[in-house]
Amino acid sequence: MIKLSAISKNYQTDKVQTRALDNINLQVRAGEFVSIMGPSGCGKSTLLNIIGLLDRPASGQIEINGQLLGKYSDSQVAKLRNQTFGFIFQSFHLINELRVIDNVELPLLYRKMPAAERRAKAKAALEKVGLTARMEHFPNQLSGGQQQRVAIARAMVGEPQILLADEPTGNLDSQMGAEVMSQLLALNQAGTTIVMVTHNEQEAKHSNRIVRVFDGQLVQ
Amino acid sequence: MIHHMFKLVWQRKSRHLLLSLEILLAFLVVFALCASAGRYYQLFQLPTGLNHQARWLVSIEGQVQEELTPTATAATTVINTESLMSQYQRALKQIPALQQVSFTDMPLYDLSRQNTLLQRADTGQSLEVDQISVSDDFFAAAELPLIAGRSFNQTDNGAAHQPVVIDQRLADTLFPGIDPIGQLLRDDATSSSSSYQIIGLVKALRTQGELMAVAPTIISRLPEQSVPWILLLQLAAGTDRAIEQQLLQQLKQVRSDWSYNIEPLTQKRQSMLRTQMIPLLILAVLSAFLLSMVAFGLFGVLWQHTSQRIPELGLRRAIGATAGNIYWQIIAEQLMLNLLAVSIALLLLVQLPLTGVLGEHLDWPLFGVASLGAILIICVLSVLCALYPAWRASRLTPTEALHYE
Repeated sequence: MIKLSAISKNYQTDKVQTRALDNINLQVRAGEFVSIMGPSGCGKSTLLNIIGLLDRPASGQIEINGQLLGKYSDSQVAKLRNQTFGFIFQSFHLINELRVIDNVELPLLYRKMPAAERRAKAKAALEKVGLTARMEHFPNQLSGGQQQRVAIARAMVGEPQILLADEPTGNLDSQMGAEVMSQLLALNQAGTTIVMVTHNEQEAKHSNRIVRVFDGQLVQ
Repeated sequence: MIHHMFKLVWQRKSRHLLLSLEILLAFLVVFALCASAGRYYQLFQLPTGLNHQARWLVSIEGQVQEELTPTATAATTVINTESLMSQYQRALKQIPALQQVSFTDMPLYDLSRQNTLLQRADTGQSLEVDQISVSDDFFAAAELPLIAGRSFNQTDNGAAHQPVVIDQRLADTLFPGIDPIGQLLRDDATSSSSSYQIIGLVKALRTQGELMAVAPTIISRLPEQSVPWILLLQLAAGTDRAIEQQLLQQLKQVRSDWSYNIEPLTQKRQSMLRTQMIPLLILAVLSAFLLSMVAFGLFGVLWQHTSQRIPELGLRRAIGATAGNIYWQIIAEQLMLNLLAVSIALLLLVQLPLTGVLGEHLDWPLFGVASLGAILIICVLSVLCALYPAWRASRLTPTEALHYE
């Protein structure tokens, strides 16, 4: 499903060049739940961003569903991000001026879809995360756990094949974190491929496979 | 998407309050400029009743005070004035290029105006009007066409009521729906209680030229014994300014102790147009200054707003927006914000034509055109200010945008 071959990524800050990823080879099969672990600054998030096409590697190749992404245009990459991937971020990235239902609808705005269908899909996604009663609320009226569940609903509303989660429980207490993890596991059991960056060994144990990154390299 | 963007703009209304206020104030000033320019254009299209081509205006100066007493009493105070007008006519007609010689008591294409209060004799309805007195030849010399009745001639000598020609505006105001020819008017402003009989109707006579507001006008007959003050001369087409020396010589033959200011009417017109354009130019300069201030302000605020929104824009990129989507979203939201501010301004401005407080200076068509013009200018300005912040935000990669601080 996802195949990374010899991926490298450098960051240039002033006169210092930092190698964030060095010759990464990784394969994620359909339906897998993969956790990426490693110390802070080792390149976990960079790797997740490259898998999700949020960032471009300095070198190497990315294959998604057997398609080699070499010279994809901005609109082709945007379409892949919209239809193939769902993203969950540590800081939720909800738009505070929009109601919960409007936040969930957001990815569907970039598809040609009638408003009524968008609304129905968003309601269904909120129902799955148990937040139907909160759909007219604004994000700042919800707890952190609820906000992350809204973010999960937003990630899932477009029915993506792959869900990428960057420390989804990082800003939550253990109880809320457990709620979010159960949602992710349920999605994985329903067939969604999940790649999650985490620092939490307990959460990582729920996944099928743990990939460890150290100094920009994979260590098994 | 438009509904979504409108929702965002609306939800952020308190954050956009100052920006909206700035747009609103700028719109009011631009509207004033557009409405003034539109009004000038409207006036420019209206007939003046004057042909300035191949016309010369002669102003006579140096008459003693007694000679300048009002024309109605001139006959009792001035000796041999009738011969003066005739003498000027005779002297000037020696010039082959000269076609018409006429006299008036009002300079043309000049800021001077003379008003009086007229009363309709039968109903007593009164109206303030512009007044000008002209000699019989004036209509031919100015090419002032009559749309009804006749102009002055020798049969008016000794008439029971002073003959007058009025303009369409006066006719429409004092005699709506009836034929004004033959109707009587009384001069309400003077104790002499002069009475006038309307003998002719002209479309308009605007002595200040194309940019003069239309005012009801009465044209009375200059008595033949009046002291000449202003001469309107029609010369053959193509006559150049070299004729002025010849004109001066002929005029000096009549009264060499008076001085004569001879000027082509075309030049007077241009000078008058320039003078009348000054308020518009001042408003334009002020508007340009204000707009440039608004542009700097808008740019700064937009830059700041866009910077604050970069993580949100990063999220949009992550969930499927292209760089182009981001670029156009920022511009479209700015246009929506404009339209909100402009709608409020229009709600205030529409009271002007609704209440009629500015009369014909702001009628509905002019209001519509001025509104459209001002909307266009404000939108263009706003879009120009949004282009760079939008471009900058759209160039960031999703990762850069999501982690922007």
